[in-house]
Amino acid sequence: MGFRRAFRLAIWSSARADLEEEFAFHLEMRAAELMARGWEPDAARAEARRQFGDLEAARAYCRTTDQRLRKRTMRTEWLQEFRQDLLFALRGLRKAPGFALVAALTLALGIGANTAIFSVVRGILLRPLPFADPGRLVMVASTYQGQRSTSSPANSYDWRDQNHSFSGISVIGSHSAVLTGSGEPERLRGFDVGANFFSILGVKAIAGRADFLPEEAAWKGPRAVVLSETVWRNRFGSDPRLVGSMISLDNERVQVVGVVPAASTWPSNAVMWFPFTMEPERLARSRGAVYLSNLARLKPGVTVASATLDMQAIARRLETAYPDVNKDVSAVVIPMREWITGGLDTPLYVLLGGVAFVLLIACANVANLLLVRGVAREGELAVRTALGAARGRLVRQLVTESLVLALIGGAAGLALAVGGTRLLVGAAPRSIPRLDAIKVDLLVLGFTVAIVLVTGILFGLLPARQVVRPDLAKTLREGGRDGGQRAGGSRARRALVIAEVALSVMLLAGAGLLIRSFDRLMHVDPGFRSENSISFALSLPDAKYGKPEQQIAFFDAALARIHDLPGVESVGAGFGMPLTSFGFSFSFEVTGRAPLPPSDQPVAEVRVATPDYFKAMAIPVVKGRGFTATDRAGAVKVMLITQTAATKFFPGEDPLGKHVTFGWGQDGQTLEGDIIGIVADVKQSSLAQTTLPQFWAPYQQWPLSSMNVVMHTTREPMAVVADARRIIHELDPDLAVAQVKTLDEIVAESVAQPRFYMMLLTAFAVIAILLSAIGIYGVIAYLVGQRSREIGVRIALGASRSNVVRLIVKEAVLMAAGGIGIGLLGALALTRLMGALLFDLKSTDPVTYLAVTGVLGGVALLAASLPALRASRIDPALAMRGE
Amino acid sequence: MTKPPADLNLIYGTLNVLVLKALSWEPMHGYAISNWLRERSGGTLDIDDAALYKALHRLEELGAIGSEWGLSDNNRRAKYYRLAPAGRRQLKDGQSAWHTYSLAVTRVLR
Repeated sequence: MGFRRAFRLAIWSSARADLEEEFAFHLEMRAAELMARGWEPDAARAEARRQFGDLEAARAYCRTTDQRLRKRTMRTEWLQEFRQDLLFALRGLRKAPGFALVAALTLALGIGANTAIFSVVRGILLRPLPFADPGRLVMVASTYQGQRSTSSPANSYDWRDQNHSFSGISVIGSHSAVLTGSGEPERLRGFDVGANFFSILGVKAIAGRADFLPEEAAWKGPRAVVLSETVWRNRFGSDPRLVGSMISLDNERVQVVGVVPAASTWPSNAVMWFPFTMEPERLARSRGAVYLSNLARLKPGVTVASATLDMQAIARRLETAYPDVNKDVSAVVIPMREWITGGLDTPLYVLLGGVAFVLLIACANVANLLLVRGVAREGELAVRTALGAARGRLVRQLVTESLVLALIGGAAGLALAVGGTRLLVGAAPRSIPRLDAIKVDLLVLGFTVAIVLVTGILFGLLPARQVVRPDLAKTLREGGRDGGQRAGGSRARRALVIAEVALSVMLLAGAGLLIRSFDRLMHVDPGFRSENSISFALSLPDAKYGKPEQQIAFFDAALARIHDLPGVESVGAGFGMPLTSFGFSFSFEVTGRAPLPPSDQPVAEVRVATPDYFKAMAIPVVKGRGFTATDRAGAVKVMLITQTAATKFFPGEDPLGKHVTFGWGQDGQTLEGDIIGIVADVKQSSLAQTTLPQFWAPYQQWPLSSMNVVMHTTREPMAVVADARRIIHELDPDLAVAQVKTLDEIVAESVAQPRFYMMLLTAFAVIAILLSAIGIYGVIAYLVGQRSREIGVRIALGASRSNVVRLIVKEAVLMAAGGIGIGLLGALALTRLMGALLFDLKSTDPVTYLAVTGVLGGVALLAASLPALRASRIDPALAMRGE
Repeated sequence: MTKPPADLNLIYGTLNVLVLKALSWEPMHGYAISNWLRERSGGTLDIDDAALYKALHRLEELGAIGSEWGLSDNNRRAKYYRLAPAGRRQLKDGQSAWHTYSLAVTRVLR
C-alpha cells in the first residue's frame, strides 16, 4: 500500500488549494474509470461532474470547516509547544536555582520598589485633584515686596468685586471650634469660607446643601455650618436628621446646613466650614490685617497669566487708594495643584530619579545574569541545533525562559509593590498632602513589568543570536567552554557592570548627601529642652471667656492646679509651639527713634507666654530678668526679646529699658512694653530655618483665648496629661484638650519629611549596592570559570596563590574604578538638583564623595574576593585536562 | 451549525456512520470511499459525492477522522482520511443506533 511512506511525505499547503486538489483528484479518477469503461473523454468528464452533484455547495461548506479546523489546529499546536517551552524553562531554572533566585529577586526589587514609589508620586503629584475640572482651580495670594502672603478681608472683597477672571472667588480663614453636647468635647478643625466656596470647588453635598445662603454669610445672620462626612459619621452616627438641626460649637448654637463627602474636602485637614462674616465697620478697617487665603475658579478661556495681570491691575488701584497699608502689595494667581504640592516636587522627583536608577540597575543585572547563563548554555544549544532542533524553536525556548523569570519576578514585585506602597503611606509624614488618595498604580505596574519584560527578552535573545549564527562547529569543538571569551559578550558584560556601579555611585551619593544633611539638621539646637516634656492646646470659646480677665483667671487657676500635680516640675503656657510654623509677625517702632514710614518699619514675630513657660521649656534668660507674677494687668508693660532680635534691632546698644510698640491685631490696636530681658533663641518654624528675631509679651498683660500648655515632668508624660485633662474638665467640662504631643514628638515631626526622603533614598542605595555586588560577583565568577585553564597553567608554572587572587581582583577593581569614575561625574552633575533638600551642606560635599568611593570600592573587592579565592584553589592538573 | 430538515437528518447521520465504517478498514481517500460505498451497497445507495465530501470535512473538523496527504496507487497526491479514536466510538454508537432504529421500523412495517 505504501501509505505510511506516503504520510511521511505529507506537506502542508494552504487549505483552499488542498480542497481543490482533493476535488480534482476525485473527478479525474472518476473520469478515468469511465473512460476505461469506454466513455469518450469529454463525456466521461461531464458524467464525473454530474455524479459529483453540487460541487459549489460542497466547496463552500468544506472551505468553512477546513478554515475552522486549521485555526484550531494551529492554536493547539502553539499551546502544546508553549507548554513544552514552559516546562523546559522551569526545568532549566530548577537546575540553576542560584541564577533563578538572584534573577527573580533582582526583578522583584526593581519592579516592587519602582511601582511603590511611582504610585506614591503619582498619587501626590500627578493624579487629578478630587474636584470638578480641577485645572481651572487657582489660589489667589497677596504679595508683599514680591513675597507671597495671606490677604486682608477688605482686599479680598475688592478682588472678589472687581475681577474679570473668575467665575467665583472665596476667602479661606482658619476657624476651629470645640464641639460639645455629643460625647467628649472635641476640637474640630474648620475654616471660614465664602458662601459659594463649594460651588467653586465643584463639590456637591451628600446631605443638605454645601453652599451658604446670603443671609448666613451676612454679619449677625443665622449661624450655619457645613460638616464633613467624617464628623457626620463619627460623631453623629450618620444620622440623616442632623441636617437642619442645631449643634453646639464653642458654646454657641449653630445649624448644620449640609454634609460634604470626606474624599473631596478642602483644605484636606478640614472637617467643618462656616460662612465668613465680618462686621462691616471692622471690615473697612481690616485692610492691614492679612490672614486669609483665597480660592478661585478661572472663567473658561482665562489663563493663570491673564488672571494674574487682572489681579495686579486691581492691586495697583488698591495701592493708590490705600497707600499706607497697600504699598508694595500686589497679587499673584497660582494653580491649585502647585499650591498643594508646592515644595514637594523636588524631593519626589529626586525619589523618582532614585527609583528609576534602581530599575535600571535591576535591568542591567538581569541582562548580565542572562548573558552569563546564555554563554554557559552555548554548548548545549549548539548540540541541540546540530541534532536538528529548529532554530525558531530554540529562540522561542530562550524567550520563554526569560518570560518565566520576568513573571516570577513580576509576581513577587507586585507583592512587594503592594506592601511597599502601604509601608510608604504609613511611614510618610502626615504633612505630605493627599496621602489618602494613594493606591498601587496598575498603570505603573504594567509599565514597569513591560520594561523588565523587554529587557528580559532582549538579553535572553543574545545567546539565541549566537545559536542562529552558523558557527556551530567551532562552538562544539571548543566544548562550549571558551565560547564566552568572544570579545562581544565579554565587553557587553563589563559595560553592564560598569553602568551598574556608576548608577549605584550616583544613588549612594544622593543618599549620602541626605544622610549628612539630616545629621547636621539633628545637631541643630532647637533652643528648648524636649526630653520629659509634653504639651497640649487649649482654646477658650469667646461666648464664655470673652473678657481678658476671664481668660487670665482660667489659665491662672488651671496652671496653678497642674503645677501641684505629682510629677510636674514646671508648667507654663505659650502662644503656639515652636517648630510648628505657627506665629505672627508685626511691624514695630522703638520709642525715641526717628519715626519711619510704615513700609520701612522693622518686623518681628511676637509671642505671648506665662512666666513659667521659659522654665518649662528650659529657655534661659541671658540678660536682665524674665517675666514674674508681678508683671500683670495694670503694672508696667514689659517685654522680652531674643538674642537674635537684640543683635538685629539694637546693634551696639543695650536693648534693656527700651520701649517698643507693635501694631497688633486687626483693628489698629497696639502691643507695647519696656524690654526687661534677653532670652535665648528658639527655632520657631523649623530646625532648618535661620533663627528669626522674636519678642515675648507676658500673658497676664496680653491674654489670648488659645494657648499651648507645656509641662516638664518627672513622671511618664502621658500619665501626667491624663491628670491635667481631669483638672481642665473639672474647671470646665466643655473644653477640649487638643494636640497632645511630647516635645520629642514635635521635634521628630518637624524633621519627618527630610527623614522620610533620607530613609527612602538610603534604601534605594542599599538595594543598588546589593545588585551591583551581585553583578560584579557574577561577572568575576564567570571569568574565573572561563579562564580556569589559563589559571591552572599559571599555577602549574609557579604562580603563587596570591598572584592569582591579585590577577582576578584586578579585573574587578578595573571595572569598579571605571564605574566609580563615571558615577562620581554623574553624581556631581545630578546632585546639584538636590540643593533644595540639603541643609547646611553643599551638593559637592567631599566627605560624601570620598565615603561613596570607599563603600563601592569595598563592595567591589568583597564581591570579587570570593571567586578570586576560588580561582586560587584551582587544581592545575584538573584545569589543564580541560574538564 | 444549521440543522438539516427532519427527513434528511437520517440520511446525513447515516452517511456519517457509513463513512466511518468505510474508514474502519483502512485509511482511504474520498474517491475510494465513494467506490467502496457503491460496491458494498451493490449500487442501491446512490450517494451524492458532494454530500460525501461535506460529511468527510465535517467529521474531520469534529475530530472523528484525521487526514494526511499521501500518494495514491497510481502515484498521485491524494488526501487520505483515517479513523480517529473519537470516530471509532462514534461508529460504534451509530451502528447500534441504526440497528435499533431499523429493527423498530421493520417491526412496524411487518
